Amino acid sequence: MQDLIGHIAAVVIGGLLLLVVATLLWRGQQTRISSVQYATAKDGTLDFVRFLEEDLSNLGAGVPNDVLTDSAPNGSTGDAYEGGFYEVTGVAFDTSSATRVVRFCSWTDRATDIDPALNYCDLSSYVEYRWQQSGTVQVWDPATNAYVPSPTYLVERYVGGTKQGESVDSITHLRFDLLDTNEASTGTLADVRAIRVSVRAVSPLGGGEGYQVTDDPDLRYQVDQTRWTRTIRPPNLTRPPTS
Amino acid sequence: MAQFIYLVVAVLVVMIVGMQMNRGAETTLQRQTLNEVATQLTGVGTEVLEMVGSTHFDRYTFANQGNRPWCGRTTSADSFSTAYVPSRRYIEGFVDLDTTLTRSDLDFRVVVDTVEYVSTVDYTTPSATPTFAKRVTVTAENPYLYLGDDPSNTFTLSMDRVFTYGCVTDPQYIPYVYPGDPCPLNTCTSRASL
Repeated sequence: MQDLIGHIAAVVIGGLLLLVVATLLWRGQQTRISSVQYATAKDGTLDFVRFLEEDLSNLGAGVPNDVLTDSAPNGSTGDAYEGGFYEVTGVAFDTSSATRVVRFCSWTDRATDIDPALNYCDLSSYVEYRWQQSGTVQVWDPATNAYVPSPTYLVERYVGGTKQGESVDSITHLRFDLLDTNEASTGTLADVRAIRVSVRAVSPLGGGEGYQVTDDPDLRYQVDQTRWTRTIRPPNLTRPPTS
Repeated sequence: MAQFIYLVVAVLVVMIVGMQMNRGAETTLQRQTLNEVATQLTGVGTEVLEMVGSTHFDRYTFANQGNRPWCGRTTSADSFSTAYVPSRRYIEGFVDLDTTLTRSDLDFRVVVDTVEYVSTVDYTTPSATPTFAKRVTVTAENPYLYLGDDPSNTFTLSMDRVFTYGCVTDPQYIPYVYPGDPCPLNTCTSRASL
């Protein structure tokens, strides 16, 4: 009898130990997956923001000063081509599924890309970022302490109307805050002196409906979205007036 | 008795391995989080350096805006930020900047450490006399980033950038400061009159 009890106890304890080991292995696997997901999300974000940074830093290149700081250059009363921007649509929201557009002059060759009639970069040379919802992921929301659906975006970059690159398709947030000289938000494009860009992204590896990094509450504080924020001050928006 | 010893050894081994693995997992997660903060820290430092660089090279050039041909960085009256202190309209004005910026819901302390003239031959060497190049050193820190196990041992990121003033061939544009103006290193040469 005692032997039987001993065997049963050994089986139970051995089983528990195996369970613990299996749990540990599972957790280790989750951590490794998380690391790869995070590194991929980070790489994708940095690849994207690298050219976004360069484009915005060169915003207004080749554009005359009076156009850069005039809300209605050359008698225009519309909102096109103000302060180096050509069009800004819906950039301050990240919940709408509408197409968002930021279009501006950058990398402009004064000799060939400036429209003499408009004295502004013509449509063959503007840089445009265009994005709309491409999917949905579950991301952790600290406010509600739960996973919530979040839209994902594919951001496309056009130069002169030709597509020249795109982001990973797992951008979960892209926002442009246009700031004036006092670092206050402004809706007047001619007053813009700095642009605060914030980007969030998840890993594109597991993309698709219902994707989430993990539902393990023990791991919920892990970084499932990588973030990047920077305030860019294009030198062309603060350059001296021509004498 | 032997079985009991085997049991204790087995439990101990599993416990040790488990603790090691959990520790590794936690370290990985912590590293990811700190990496996020560090990325933002770099962004904040760059932001402040760009803000400094978007102002006038010095007060002399600021005071003469619009009157002369210009090769400096900025002259338009609204080209500087007054977000911190209205007087920060030229580079030296930032020398005592010590502020906290909130980005991505995190607070970052940013300090403009030094503003100094540097040799125009070697930008790494401070110059005792005014030149057309100034180096600005900014430090940034966040309470989540610290060295070792001591939270008070905050990691401080130091970034610097050299800003130059373009009109170096014309002596009248060599930067000086007004008499009585604060000079970051007490090495500036005052111009008697403009």
